[in-house]
Amino acid sequence: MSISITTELLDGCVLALLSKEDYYGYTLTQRVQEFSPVSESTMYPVLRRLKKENWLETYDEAYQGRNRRYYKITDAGLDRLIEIKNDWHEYKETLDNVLGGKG
Amino acid sequence: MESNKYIEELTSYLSNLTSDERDDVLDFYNEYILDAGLTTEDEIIAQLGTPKQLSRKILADYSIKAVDDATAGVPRYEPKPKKNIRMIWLVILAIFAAPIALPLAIAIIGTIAGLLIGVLAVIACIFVVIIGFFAIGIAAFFSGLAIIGQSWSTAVLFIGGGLAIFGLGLVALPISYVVVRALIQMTANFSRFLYNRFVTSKNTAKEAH
Repeated sequence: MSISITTELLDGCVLALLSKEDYYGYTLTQRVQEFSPVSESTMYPVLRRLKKENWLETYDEAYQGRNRRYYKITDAGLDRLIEIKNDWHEYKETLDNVLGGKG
Repeated sequence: MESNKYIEELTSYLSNLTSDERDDVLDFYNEYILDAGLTTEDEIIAQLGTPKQLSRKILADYSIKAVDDATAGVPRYEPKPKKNIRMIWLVILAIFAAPIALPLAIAIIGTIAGLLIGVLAVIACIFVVIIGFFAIGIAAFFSGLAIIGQSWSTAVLFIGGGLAIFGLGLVALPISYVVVRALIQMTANFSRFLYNRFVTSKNTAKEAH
């Protein structure tokens, strides 16, 4: 796949994953990399931004004598997710009209 | 342990961040390295890049974000030229660190460098012109004073003209300040555009399966 993901779509995908369950940094990165080739170093800026927008919150849990920071979606994050979903469907339809079906 | 060395080096490159921000970044990557089971420095570098590369990416992101915050929404503070210059510099460093094709990197840096040189040249010109105004103004004023005994009318012409030119220089000062600021702002915006356009998308495209 050679099409890059936009910031908004990446936000949406992260929020969508978090709407199903809470993740910590490493597993969340793994899950995102299953569908998009984002680099390991891009996840931190994304999570930091989403937290700053209050779309997600964090909590710490002890794991083998250290902390694991979990990310949890907020109500505002769920609202944002719906917005991005709508934008995406609109965009997808438009592009399908231009590009047509599978070649 | 090898990861301590990596984190230590990363810490040293993040001295510009506040301690809260720095701790947050370091916690994240520390945790990531442990969870990913990366033990040797080579493994860590293979995933995250060298501490220097990672720090540049983090810093460029912080800097770009700060300017974005300033321009969008509630204007909490105006982006300062100094901050913009720092951002242009960070973007250049981030481009160097990014795994994009070297010719493209050179082209992008060349473009930014060209712009910067152009902007600097314009700033230098404005500076020289204003100095010229002041110099001519002062020179004419004193020449006028010197010949006041010989020819009253010529003296008045020189003194008046000198003062007027000096005044023009004073008027030009704030105007040129605004122009210079706008030029730097434009260069910064353009660098940011290049960063977003090429570095971010190339990063993802390169690792495509």
